Amino acid sequence: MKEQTFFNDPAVDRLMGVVFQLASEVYILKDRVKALEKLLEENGIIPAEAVENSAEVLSPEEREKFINRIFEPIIQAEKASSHVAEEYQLE
Amino acid sequence: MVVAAQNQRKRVEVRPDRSTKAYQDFLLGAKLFWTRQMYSALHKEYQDKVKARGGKEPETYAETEKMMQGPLYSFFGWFERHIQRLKYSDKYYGLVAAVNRQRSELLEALENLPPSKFLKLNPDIEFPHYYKAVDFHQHPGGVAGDELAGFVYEYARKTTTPLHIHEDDIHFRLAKAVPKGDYKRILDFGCGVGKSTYPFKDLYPEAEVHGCDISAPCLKVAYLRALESGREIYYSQENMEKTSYPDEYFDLIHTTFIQHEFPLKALEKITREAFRLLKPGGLYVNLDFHSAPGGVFGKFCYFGHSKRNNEVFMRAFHDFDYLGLLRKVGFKSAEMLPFDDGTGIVAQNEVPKAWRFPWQLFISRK
Repeated sequence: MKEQTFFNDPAVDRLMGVVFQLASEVYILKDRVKALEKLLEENGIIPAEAVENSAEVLSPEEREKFINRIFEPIIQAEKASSHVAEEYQLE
Repeated sequence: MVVAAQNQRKRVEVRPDRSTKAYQDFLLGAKLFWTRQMYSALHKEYQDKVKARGGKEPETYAETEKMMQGPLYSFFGWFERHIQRLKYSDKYYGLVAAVNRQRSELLEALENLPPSKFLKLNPDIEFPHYYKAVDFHQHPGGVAGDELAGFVYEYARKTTTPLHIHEDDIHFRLAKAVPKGDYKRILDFGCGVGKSTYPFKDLYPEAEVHGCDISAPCLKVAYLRALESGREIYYSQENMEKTSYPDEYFDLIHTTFIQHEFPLKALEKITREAFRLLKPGGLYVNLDFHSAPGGVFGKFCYFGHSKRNNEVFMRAFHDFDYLGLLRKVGFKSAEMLPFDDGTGIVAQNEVPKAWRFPWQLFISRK
């Protein structure tokens, strides 16, 4: 079933999907980073500068997964994941 | 007691990982933003546009939609549709994905439910066409489509009404709003995952309490939670249009936001069935959505929700003379009362301050 659109240009619907998912990922990261920093600080494991100066940790695979997730809505219009039979679809 | 003996079972539940929890929390934040700020901004824009037309309000939904076209309404619609879609269907952090990660554990819990007189399933039950044809509130596959749909639905309810203090609060409010009576046998008609049944068992512990629904996955979760909480409730898989209960079996039958999910033909059959099942003098109570307050703007928001959330029969029920049907079917009295969902009562001519369902309480006596 074709997904509903809300903007005059359906590209904006997709773009909104990008922005929304990106924002959600930022929020998820914020949660994890804050949890980590709190634990590190509480346990006196490493000073804050150690995080700042540490080597890169994300692999190319992780980068690819992240990028695919963020930009996927551009490649294809969302498909509705719930179904309404044609005769019941509202105008 | 049989149920009490099962009480020591370990609680089986959906445990989303940290990222999924953060994602769902983000969706809740976005929904609250939509419920309060975007809704208020949309109402202001509506008022401004009416003022610009010399104070002439639009008359129909279509006319209102046309008048409201613009970026804000586009974003409003997008948020309403997609927050709900992503809640269930985000590939990584959606509830369906979260439940599927625990698939074997959750399936095992349902398969190991002890055979009992408290859970009667009917594998041969026929689902009405309208039930199979629409995934209400965007639940992919509907609440009976997957064996674990009950777990998905149970978790999803947490963010359906974000201004409520707890997702179960509404059910306790309904039980308390029902006139007190010497109810010997009570039926939760279309009980889903059973959250609407428990308050009645708690309020009337001596009563024989029943819950029926057409969805086996929901009934299994309802029964599982009843076992865990030590409540004796009889669950039965039934088509509400034609159940297997005898005539005049119940003193009280209640429904919770389900009437708006039926096409009107089915609603009439279901209302007649409730009448058949009630003892003379028995009470039929429906908590549902009807007669949206807030004039044209109130209806505009509600009808838009109907479309954006796959609630395809909602509009027809809203405009339907349900009290007339109740009286036609034979109920001696039928009335529609305002209902406080925890955010207060909204007068019929008042535009709600935040987005809300148009709660109404129907009380009818046979």
